[in-house]
Amino acid sequence: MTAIEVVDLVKNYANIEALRGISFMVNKGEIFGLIGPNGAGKTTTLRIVATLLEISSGIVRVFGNDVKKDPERVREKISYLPEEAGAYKNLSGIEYLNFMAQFYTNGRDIEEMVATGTSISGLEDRINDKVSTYSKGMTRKLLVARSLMMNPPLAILDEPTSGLDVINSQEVRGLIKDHARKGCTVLLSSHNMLEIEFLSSRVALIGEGRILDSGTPGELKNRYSAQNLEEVFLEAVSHE
Amino acid sequence: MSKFTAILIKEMKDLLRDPKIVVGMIVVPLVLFPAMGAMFRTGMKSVESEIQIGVMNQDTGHFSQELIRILEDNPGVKLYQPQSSSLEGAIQEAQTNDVKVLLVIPPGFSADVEDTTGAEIDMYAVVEGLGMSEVISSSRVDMIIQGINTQLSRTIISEKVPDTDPGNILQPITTRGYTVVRGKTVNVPPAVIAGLVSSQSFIVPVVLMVMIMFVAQMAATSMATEKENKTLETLLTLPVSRLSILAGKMGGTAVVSLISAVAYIIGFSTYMSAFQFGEVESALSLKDVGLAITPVGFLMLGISIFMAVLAALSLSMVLAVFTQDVRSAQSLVSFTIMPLVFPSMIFIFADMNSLPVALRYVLLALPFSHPTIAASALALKNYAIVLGGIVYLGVFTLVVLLIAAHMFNTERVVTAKITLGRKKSKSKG
Repeated sequence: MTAIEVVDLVKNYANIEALRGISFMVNKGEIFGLIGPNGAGKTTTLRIVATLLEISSGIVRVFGNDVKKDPERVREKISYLPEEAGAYKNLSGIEYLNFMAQFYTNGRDIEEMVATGTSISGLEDRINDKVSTYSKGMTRKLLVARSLMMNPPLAILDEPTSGLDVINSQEVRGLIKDHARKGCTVLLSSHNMLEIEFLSSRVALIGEGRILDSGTPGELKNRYSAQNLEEVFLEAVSHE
Repeated sequence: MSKFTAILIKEMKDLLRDPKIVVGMIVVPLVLFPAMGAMFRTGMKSVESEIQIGVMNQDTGHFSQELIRILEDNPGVKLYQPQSSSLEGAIQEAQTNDVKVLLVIPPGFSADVEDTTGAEIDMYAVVEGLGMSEVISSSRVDMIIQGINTQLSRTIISEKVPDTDPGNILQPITTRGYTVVRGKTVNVPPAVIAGLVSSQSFIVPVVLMVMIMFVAQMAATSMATEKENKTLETLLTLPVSRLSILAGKMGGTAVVSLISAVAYIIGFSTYMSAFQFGEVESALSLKDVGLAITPVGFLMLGISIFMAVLAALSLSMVLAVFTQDVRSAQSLVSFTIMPLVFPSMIFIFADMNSLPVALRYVLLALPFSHPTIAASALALKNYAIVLGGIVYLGVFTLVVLLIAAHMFNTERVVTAKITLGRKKSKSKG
């Protein structure tokens, strides 16, 4: 089953062409990675799939729901983690998770969902402290926990390990893989190509608003006779 | 719990736990204003306390004795008799004995009064500092001298024209004041009526301005904080309608703003009461002169104020959508809302019908004038203009709300970026 369908997607901001007709498909349960340099169009693509930005032309469907025509249905299927996200500083970690859980379930299920979130965050007793007292890494873990605790059909993660140290990054990658194994589809972007290679079942290389190439990490490495995705990307850019 | 309620409660918690909001908008007005009032009251009490007046009498006539007797009879005055016979010595004594004012009655004072050639006394105010009480002491003595003048005039008149009431010579004309209010004649002068309605015509515009500015600033802060703290994008991708987000944020902001407004009103009233301790309660009420607002009138005034608050909330939300940070949002809202609210202050001083036609229409076009217009119109039972104002405010609010709802349903809520006083951050790819 197709989780995401992007066909000829164009996005213009005033005089800037951020996306110049990109197309890709993501299957259910797949981890699909977008890699590319700053300004390539990764975040714009993710924000369009997350219903935050409008499309200039093209089609984007999430589990068959058109993001333009039916954004509210799309929002029921997704959980979005922006790269530069924050949490409400005057709420405690647990209050934040509780607030978020209320949009996805009700009654006793809220407690269960919050317990899952608390466990994912690994914040233990600090979960009861105000978010304003958290370090950048702790806030990021809380946000990752928020985005995964409801076991969303589609998790859209923009630089999920941004601001995390090596150990916490490794932990978060493990959590993303676990969720994919449970049937959750993941669309993620990262500057860290090794992270994408580790996580993704398939990858699309984006440069200047276009898809330069796509495939499994293995296919891409073979195609460009490269050791890793970094080399693949540099090769793909040089062929343009 | 509904999704709307969840947002409403989150909004209230988030705002009420912000130390800047709690201190600046709730604690400060409840503590600072009453403290200022208490300080003023303390200052005034020191002014009102007993004043020591030194009298250096160089006259031997009976009018100087009469003057001293009147001074002694004054309950707020304690007399001091300098030992020194020289002026310099008397001034020095005054300084060391906490004498605020030294009066020097020259020789021949009584004779000058008797001859009605114009008598003079010298008054030396002893000022140790520049406090209000120091400055006011001499003016208190001026007032006492004024009273003595009147009493001495009565004594002289009684002596010179024995069979006449001295009052009729001192004040040959007296006025009996009547005011015709809405066809009903009441036997009080217009100044008394003006005094009765002044609190009403002053309080409504002031309270309204405080409320509108609070609501506007709070709504702008609430919206801009979501942007500044990078929580808005997550909120907008949750499975909840954008209208519920807007309504929840507006509701939470309105509740916290009203708490702030009440705190300011309590604080401000306490502060203002410091200035009213000398006033005598009037036996006359607005009801007696037919200017009291009826319960239906109060309901209409409440609706009018509520609609104005709602209009300010929606307008601020729309404005804040265009900004990136709290400071820009607050500046933009101040620049926009202030000119819409401030002109209604004119109604403290002028009735709408006395204004030039063009100005009248300009004020009627401003949404926030209407509750103030309603306050005086309701006292005069002019319900049509109040209802018209409510309808106008309703239409204005509806249009702004529709714009706000539209903005929340488009990407502008994420992409609109007006920055006032700061550099723009670069957009990401």
